[in-house]
Order: sequence, then C-alpha cells, then structure tokens
Amino acid sequence: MNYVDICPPAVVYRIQEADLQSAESSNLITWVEENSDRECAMAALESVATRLTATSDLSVIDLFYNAVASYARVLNAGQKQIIRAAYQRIPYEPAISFNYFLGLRNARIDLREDLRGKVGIDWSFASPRRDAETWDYYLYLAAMDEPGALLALAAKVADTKSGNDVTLLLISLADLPGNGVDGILKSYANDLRTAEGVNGPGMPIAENVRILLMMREAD
Amino acid sequence: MGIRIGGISGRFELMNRNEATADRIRCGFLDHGEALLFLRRHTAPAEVIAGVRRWSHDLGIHYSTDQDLLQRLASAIAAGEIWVADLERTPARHSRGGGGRVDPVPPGPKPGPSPKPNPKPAPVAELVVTVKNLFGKPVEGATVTAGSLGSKKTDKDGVADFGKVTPGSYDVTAKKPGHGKKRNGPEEMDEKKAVPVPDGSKTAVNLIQHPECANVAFFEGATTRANYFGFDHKTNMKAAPNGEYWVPVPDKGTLTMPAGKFTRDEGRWVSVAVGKETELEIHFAFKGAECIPCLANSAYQIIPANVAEVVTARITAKKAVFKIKGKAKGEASLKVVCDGHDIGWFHIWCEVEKELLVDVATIVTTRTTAAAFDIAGLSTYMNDIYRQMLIKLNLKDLGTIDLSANAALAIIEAAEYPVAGGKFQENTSGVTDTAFLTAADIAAVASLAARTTSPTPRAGARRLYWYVPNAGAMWGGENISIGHPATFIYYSDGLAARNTGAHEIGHSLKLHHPQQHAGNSEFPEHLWKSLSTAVPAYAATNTEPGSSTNPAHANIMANDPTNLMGYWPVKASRKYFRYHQWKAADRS
Repeated sequence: MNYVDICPPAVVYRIQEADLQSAESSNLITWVEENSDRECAMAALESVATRLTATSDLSVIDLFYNAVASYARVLNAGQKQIIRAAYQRIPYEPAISFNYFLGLRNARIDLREDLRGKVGIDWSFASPRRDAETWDYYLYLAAMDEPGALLALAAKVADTKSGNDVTLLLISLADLPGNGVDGILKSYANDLRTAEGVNGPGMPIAENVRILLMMREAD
Repeated sequence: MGIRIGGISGRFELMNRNEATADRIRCGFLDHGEALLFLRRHTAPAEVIAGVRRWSHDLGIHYSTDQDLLQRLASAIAAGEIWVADLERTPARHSRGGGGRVDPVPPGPKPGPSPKPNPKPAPVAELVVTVKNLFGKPVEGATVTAGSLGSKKTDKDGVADFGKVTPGSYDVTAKKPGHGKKRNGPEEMDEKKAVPVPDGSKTAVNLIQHPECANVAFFEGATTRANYFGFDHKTNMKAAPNGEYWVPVPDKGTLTMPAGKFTRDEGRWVSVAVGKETELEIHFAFKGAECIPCLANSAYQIIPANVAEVVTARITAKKAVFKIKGKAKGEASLKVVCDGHDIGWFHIWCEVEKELLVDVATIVTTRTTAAAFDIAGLSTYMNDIYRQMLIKLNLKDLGTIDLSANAALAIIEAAEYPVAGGKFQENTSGVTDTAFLTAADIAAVASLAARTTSPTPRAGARRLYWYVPNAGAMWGGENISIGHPATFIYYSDGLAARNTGAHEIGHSLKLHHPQQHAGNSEFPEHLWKSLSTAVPAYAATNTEPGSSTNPAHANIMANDPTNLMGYWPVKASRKYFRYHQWKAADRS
C-alpha cells in the first residue's frame, strides 16, 4: 500500500521530504500516525524501509525498528519482506539492540543465520535495559524457538542475586509467549525477595510472578 | 688630574675616549659617589693603609666625614687591588679619536707597600637591559637580574640600566608577576644566558616579557543552556568546605592534571554524544589584552584521543565558546597545556545519544477524571533535563484510558482510599500502593493493546500515566519500582507535576533517591554523606540557578541539593543529574 494513496497531502509531503540522515526524522512514523491513522503510518513505515541505508541516522534506524515492533501484529507478508530487506541492508548496531531485536522478534523475521557471530555475548549486565545486548538477542532467539536460548535466559535470571533485577528480568521475559516461559515464572512463585520500591522494599518477586502469570492466562 | 683605580681603569679609558672629541681629558671622573660605589663592590673593610689621605682630597673624600670609606679604600690599595695614579702627568697618553688604552704608570701608594709590577688595567663596560612585551611596548616594573650584578627594576621606558659593570658574561633575566615564561621562539625569550659584556663596550640586551600562562576555567557555563549536554561540578568537588575552583583564579602556579579522573580537585565533567558537538565556555584568567598571545600558545589535548575531539580551532578571546565533539563511547580528559604546563582540564563522558520512548496517557477510574496535559510542554521540560545524560525522551500522547468499568481494578483501587473522604494513599502501605499501581498499569496496557485506531502504543515504550484523584493525593507521583517501565503522576499538569514526572522517570531508568542509594554507583560518597545535613546557600552560576539555605533533610544532599533524584522543595531548580547518574541510568 502506497502512502501517497492513503495519507493526507501534508503527511505525504512530510514523508517525501523526510531526511533519513537527520535525527530530526527519527519520530517520523509516530508523527504520521498522530497526524493521520495507523494505516498511513504503516505505509510510511514501508516507505522508510525502502529508503533506509547504512548511513541513515542511528536514531532514525532505531525508531524504525521500534515501529516495526509496534505494528508487527498487523504487518502483511509483503511489508515484512521489505522490512527484512532493510534489516539485511543495515549493519547491526549494538547501541540499539533493544529495538533491533524487538522488531525482529515481534515481526518474527528470521535473521538468525545472518546474525551468527555478529552479536557480542556478555551476560554480565544487571538490567535488561542497559548494555543488555545479549539479553535482547536471546529473547529473540527464544522467540524463534532456537534450542537452548530459553535455558540461557533462565540461567541468567537464576544467577541474579538482586530481587529487583530478578523482577525486571522476569517482567521482560514474560513478554515471550509459551509454556517454557510459564515454567520459568512459576519457579519463582515462592520467592520472597522483593523489588526495590522507590522508598524502600517493593513487591515480593512471588507477588509479581502471580500477577504476570495471571496476565498470561488472560491472554 | 686623573686617577686610575684597579678594575675601573677600562671605564676611565672609555670615558676618556668619549671625551676626546672635546679635545680635553675627562678629569676627576671618580667622584665621591663613584668612589663609594666602587668601594662597595670591590673593597673590604678593616685594613687601613697609611697615606691614603694623600689622594683623598683629589677624590673629593674628606677624612672627617668619610673615615670608613677611606679605610676601605686604603684596604684595597693595600691589597693591590687598586692603583692610584697622579693623572695630572698622564693626559698626553690618551690618543685622540679613541681606541687606545689609557695606561698610565701607577706611582704606587705613598706610603704603603709597593705596587704590583706592571698590573693590567681594570676594564670597564656598561650594561643596559630593555624589556618589552610582545606588542613592543615597554614593560615597567619588571625585575631584571644580571648575574652577580644583582637586580634592577625597569623604568617607564622598560629600561634597567646597570651602568658601569665589570666586563664578563652574565645571565640576564626579566620577571614580572603574571609574565615571564619562555616561549618557543628564540626571539621571544625573556631570559638570555651568558650575555657577553666585553671590556670597553656598552651592551644592550633586549628581552621580551610574555603574559604568563594563567589557569584556565572550563564551562562555568555556555552562554545558552541549549548548547551543551550535561555539566557536573559536584562529582569532583573539593573536600574543603567552600573549596574554590582552581580556575579561573590567576597566578596560582603550575598545575598538574591528576592521573585519576575522580580526584576532588573541582575538575568538571561534561557529557557529549557520539557525533555531536557541545559548547563549553573557556575562560583564561588573564588581565586585559595581555592574554591574547598566550591563548595562541596553548594546546588542547584530549586523552585518550579516540573519545572526543576539539572542534574550536583557535581561541581568540580570553572568554570564549569552546566546542568539542564526541567520537566514541568512553571517557576522556581534556587538558590545556601552555609551555609544557597544565593550566586547566575537564573530564568527558561520551555516549551514543539514545531516544527513549515514553507513551503518555491519562487514566480514568471511578476515583479519577481525565487530566489535561500539554505533551509538547512536557516533552520540552523533560528533555531539558534528560539531555544531560544524552537521553532524548520521545513522548507520545495516547490520550485517555478509561478503566472506570474495570470492577476488579476498582476493588484494588478502593484500598488506596482507606480514610473516609481522605486522599489517595492516605494511611496506606507501600505494598498495597504497589499492588494497585501494578494492577492499573496492567489494565491500561491491556486497554491500549486492544486499540485498533490511533493513537496506538509503541512496543517496549515506558509509560507515564496521569492518575489525578478527585480527592487529591498524598504525594506527587510514583514509579512502581526501581527500573519498572510504568510511572504515575498524581496531580494536574504544571511545573511541579512535570518535575515530579521527570523525577519518577528517573526511577524508571533505575535511578534511586540518594537516601536509597546502593554503594557509590549513583552518588559519590561525599555527596550521599551530606544527606541529613543543613544545606548552605549556593550562588548562581551560568549553568545552574542559585539556591537558598534549607534545613537538613533525609533525602537532600547538602553538597548537591538540586539533584533531580533528591527532594529539593523548589521544583524549578531540582533538575540536575551528575556523572554517576549519567552512567548508571538505563538506556533502552
């Protein structure tokens, strides 16, 4: 679907004129949705996917991957193919691993062979949102049913001492579907370590796990 | 009549030569003052030789008033150091036109020991030193030292006249406070070694005084705040109370940049994004225009060089914008070197600038109504804060999430209002608070996920909810737990609400209150140890507003009261992160 056919003229103009070498364009897809609708935003995403290059601004690329993740459920096969080509055209950049793998994961684009040996493996991170390239990668691998990936994630959680970090890792892990994840969550059902509240101890891991499992059942 | 006395015979000759054009012999040049000067330099007291009075009259020395002088003169004669000749009989020996040496035969002292046979005449020379600055203007008040001749101050013409001196070789230097270091060019020396001052000559020495490399201050603040990222003058703050930044105080002497980046020398930290420039203010602590040559003489070194680079090619004013550009993730120091001396430095934290997504919505329940908020204003406010740590918050307005029909949530919510007619979270516990917030977040996420029309949520985005109770709230806002992606604001949009939101987003990025700090990862010891201490007033700088005194508070650091993660009551000025926080915050 071509954005020119479905988007308002002002939005079309903005998409056409967007300089993908500039960080000013990083928010393009969100802006398009805010100023039109989701269909137009997805068409804009498709357009951006064809225009992105290795020299595009890193934040533009980063938020492109996030848009892929955000619209993943409603992308059609053709759009996914264009997006896959963009992923293959643009070198992997560890600084934006979170959205890079989130996009691949949600859209279920299999680039595992392309990525072998390109992702640094370092399990020493504490938070799933800082220097956690390895965590992001293994979430993706587990989502793609890569053998051993889920076990590696579970091992990371098991090796983590801080109740707060365990909570954050489990919340992140709970984004993945499947019984395997349920099993890992249930193994913490009686863990009395707590998250860190901003002014003192927060909820016990057990309580957070109970809520996470309840949500998964509801899904 | 003329008199030749030892080491000044050369001078005598010179003077005779100079006077020869007048076709007369300069007589009596060794007057009372000169005799005094000579004796001070060349004779020792205590020895008296008979007969010295015989010549004293010719020298204008009177026994009745100059006994000491006579005694010293006699001593010199006795030692054979000086000769006194009856020059009334020698003028014919001077050759007209100069060049010839006056060499009268000394008669020897009468009475006294016999003079040495055929003594060589004592030579005479002159030394005049002129001191100018780099602009060629005389430097008055400089102290000129010429080896054993001692020191003289330059006059208004920059001249230090040593007058008649013993021929030889002298090291000549000029000094003046705030001036004087050697420069690289040979023509720009303020010191000359082994200057020959030959017998019979008048030697002129020209020296150049340079403005000394005074200390240099960095980024007390750029002219506008928007032109730089983070600035931190707290991490390396001096241990001494009221410690003074070593720059820009001038004339403090040579500095040496410490090997460690965390020496409490008041070195500053600055953050800069990879591929981005940041503007700092550089301040050379000179007086007047004299600094300009030294500015050009200073070199700027980033160590290690792969982290950042200096963009500003040339500093032309003593207070100027100074730009650096981030090159790669890492840490470095920039130091200014002048004539091989460190004169100032700062430290650099370089990271990839990261855009973090925050979806913003207002939650409607049975106890709240939709809150109006200005997403653009909120974005501007928050980014002015988070740019310090090279994070750009990308806010998306998701509008209203109506959970008023969620009966399960309403039950949990009711527990947060245990006091009849009371406020939200009045007399509640942290456990129930967290349970409700978690439930509200889950319900909101589920509601958003079900949307098929705009605005839709973004994958992996943090969430900022306006939950504004009709009954009011005990607190300003809350993050579910440290590092949790969901944050709540409990009162209507405005400066205070935005500041609270920024604070709570800090928790979402895994930052703690100073009171709940763990180790020294977010606050250096000298900061968190100043918790619960009366807060002194701080003067405004051009990076931060001033702050007034405040009573001790468990969550306010007296050494950094306006840190965003503390509880400084003046929200307008609570907006600062420091180096450890830049580094500790989550970036995905």
